[in-house]
Amino acid sequence: MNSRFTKLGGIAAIALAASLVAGCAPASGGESSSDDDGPIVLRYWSWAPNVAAIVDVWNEANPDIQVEVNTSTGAADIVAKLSAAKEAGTLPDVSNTTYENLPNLVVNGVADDITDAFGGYEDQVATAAWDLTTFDGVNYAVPQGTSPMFLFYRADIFEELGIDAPTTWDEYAEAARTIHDADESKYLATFPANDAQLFAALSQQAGAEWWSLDGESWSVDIDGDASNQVADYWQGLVDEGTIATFKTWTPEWQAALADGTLASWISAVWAPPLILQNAPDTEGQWGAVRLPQWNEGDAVSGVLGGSGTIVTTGTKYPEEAREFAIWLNNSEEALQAYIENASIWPANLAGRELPALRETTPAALRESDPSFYDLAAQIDEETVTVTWGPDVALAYSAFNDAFSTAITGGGSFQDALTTVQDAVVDDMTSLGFTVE
Amino acid sequence: MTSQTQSVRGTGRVASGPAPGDASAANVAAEASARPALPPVRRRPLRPRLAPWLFVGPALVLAAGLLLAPLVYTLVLSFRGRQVAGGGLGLATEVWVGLDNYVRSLTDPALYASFGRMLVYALIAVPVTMGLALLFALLLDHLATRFRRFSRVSIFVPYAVPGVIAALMWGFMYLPGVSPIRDAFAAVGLPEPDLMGPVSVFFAVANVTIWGSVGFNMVILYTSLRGLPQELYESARLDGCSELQLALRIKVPLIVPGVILTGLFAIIGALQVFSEPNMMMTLTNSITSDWVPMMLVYRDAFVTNDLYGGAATAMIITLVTLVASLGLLKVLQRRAFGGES
Repeated sequence: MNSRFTKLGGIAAIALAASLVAGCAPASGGESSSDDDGPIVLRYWSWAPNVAAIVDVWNEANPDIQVEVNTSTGAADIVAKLSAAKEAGTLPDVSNTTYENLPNLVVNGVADDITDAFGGYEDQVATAAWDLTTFDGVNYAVPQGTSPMFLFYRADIFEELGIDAPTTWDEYAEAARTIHDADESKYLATFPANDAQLFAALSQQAGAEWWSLDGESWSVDIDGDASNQVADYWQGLVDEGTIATFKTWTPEWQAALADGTLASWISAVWAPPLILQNAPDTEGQWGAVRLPQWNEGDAVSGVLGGSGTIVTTGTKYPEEAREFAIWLNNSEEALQAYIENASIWPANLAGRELPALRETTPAALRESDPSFYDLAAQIDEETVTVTWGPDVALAYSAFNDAFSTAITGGGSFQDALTTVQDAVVDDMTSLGFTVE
Repeated sequence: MTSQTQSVRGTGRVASGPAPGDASAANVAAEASARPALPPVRRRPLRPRLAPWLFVGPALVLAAGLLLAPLVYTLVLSFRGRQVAGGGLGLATEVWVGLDNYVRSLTDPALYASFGRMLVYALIAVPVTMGLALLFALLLDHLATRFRRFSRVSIFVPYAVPGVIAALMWGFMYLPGVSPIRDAFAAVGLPEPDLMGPVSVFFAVANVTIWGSVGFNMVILYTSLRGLPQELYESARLDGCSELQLALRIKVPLIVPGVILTGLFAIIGALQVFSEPNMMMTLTNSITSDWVPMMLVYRDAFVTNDLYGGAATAMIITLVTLVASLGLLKVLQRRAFGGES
């Protein structure tokens, strides 16, 4: 309200003060700069927790190529921030990106071609990750990890109610009913309108290809049969009231995870530390199994996230930036540091065998058989190949709006998918893509 | 020369706007006595003419740098767009698209829906804020209690809480799974209210901004009240005026310019409402990313990566805000600025 005026005044005063200070101080910060004698400084944008500890390993070993890490950018707004930085001519040298957003960064001319340096690494990297970062034989990112999907469930609650971990979606629905019938305030899960990534992954499992590229022309199939099958399934559970509909990553969700209101969470290999962070009292009580299947005996999984490292088109030191990006995701010392400091499932095949990874079970989980990471490796093999379109952020935002409205207003999930489909096709057509 | 004198005087008046108490009474009196004493404009020495410019200079530079330059840049962006060449994953280039972005924005039903929601929100937030601010100001002016200072501060303190944090805090109190408000209802056996339903969410958002801005408005109005000459009260009391009549018939009419000015700020603030609903969007299904106009711009520019479309919508909102506030100012000018044109 009127406070805005005074706030603006305050901001203006601070900005003035800052510019005065900046005017007096020697130019620094803004760009990667190096004196003739000094080391090269690479700027690296990342959102990985504790990434500075990993970068420190590099900085100690490479006094001539120092890396400055900036973690203020989140996975969700990385495209907007990088595009704005490109507009302003202040791109960092190296940046994290989610696989979903990589096509957008390629189209916007942010991610640089790194085939010369990275093309030879194909044997050392998991196929799924390689496919997600390579278009038409050109490498645009060094894959960091993949995200095999899991169903995490509260083993203690399941045992108490005499439920087995569901292996099919029918069993999953039955488990949802059993839990809600036993206590009306408890749910097997929530169907979150803000998690388009999850819905996309579940649709992929059912066989949907939201985007596909045939030569020069795109097909968009967000409201096709497979996605509608998934939409109908969840709509049924929502209408029955056997699962909740609040959003993930809210205080309500954290509380529900902690106090057993939610007895399971469909997520990925990176989830256990997050479970522990949100629900520390549930340590060792979670089981992790493969995603429920549509048909008994199948073993199919979708792609839930995952990220890689790009070298930007704005770097002044492409050689050094590539070297760092490759080191970060493929060298033993970096992967070791990653596993210790941030929870990733490396795309690098040798990294997956590191004892630090294989000989432990994440603290949130009970001891399992086969081990969590053996299962992760298996699920990775069962994951479908996915092509992400050039406007995934728009699709996710449209999904969030359409499904939120459907949930609050009682609309159909199929109609919501059609809304998303139309928004995506409109956007791609107006950008000049050929869409069939 | 005359225009310069006027603009300088005008600037001075605007600056004293937030304390309209003196504007209405004290300044009018001061000016009335000062005016005939002014020497003819031409003979004024250089220094007094420079001094005002020296004072407003930094403000003008800031306005140009922080307001005008971004506005011009946004205008340029709004006529541009991206075009992809070479199908598949071809490279996008920036091209001139003329009015395309404006056409797209103005034909988008989401824009009108967002203005509609903003109006509903404003109809709740503006009158309640102004009403409460006036009520508190009058109470504080009247109550000769020892707690005046404490009450004033405690009403004002929420203003110090940033909008995003206030939205988070209130969001936590609204969220069904963790809401202490709902717990309180349950504790006394009442049905638990849905605090962020499709309708109640308007009140939920308005509540956050009202809570945060009543104190600021109250302080402005309270200052105006303190600036009123005490003799007026005395003579009114001698005429047998009750405290309630004193408040309604003497105090309120005299601070109307202050009320109008703060009301105008409140309306402009409502047009720009953004951080509260944008924050609460992450918590509830009842708020979509195009809930109010500013959220629409933010989503286009920073979420879906359509900087150009966002720029066009931003220009449209700027225009609406300008027309609305200047129009309102024109209508209310006499009352707001004591008849000075």
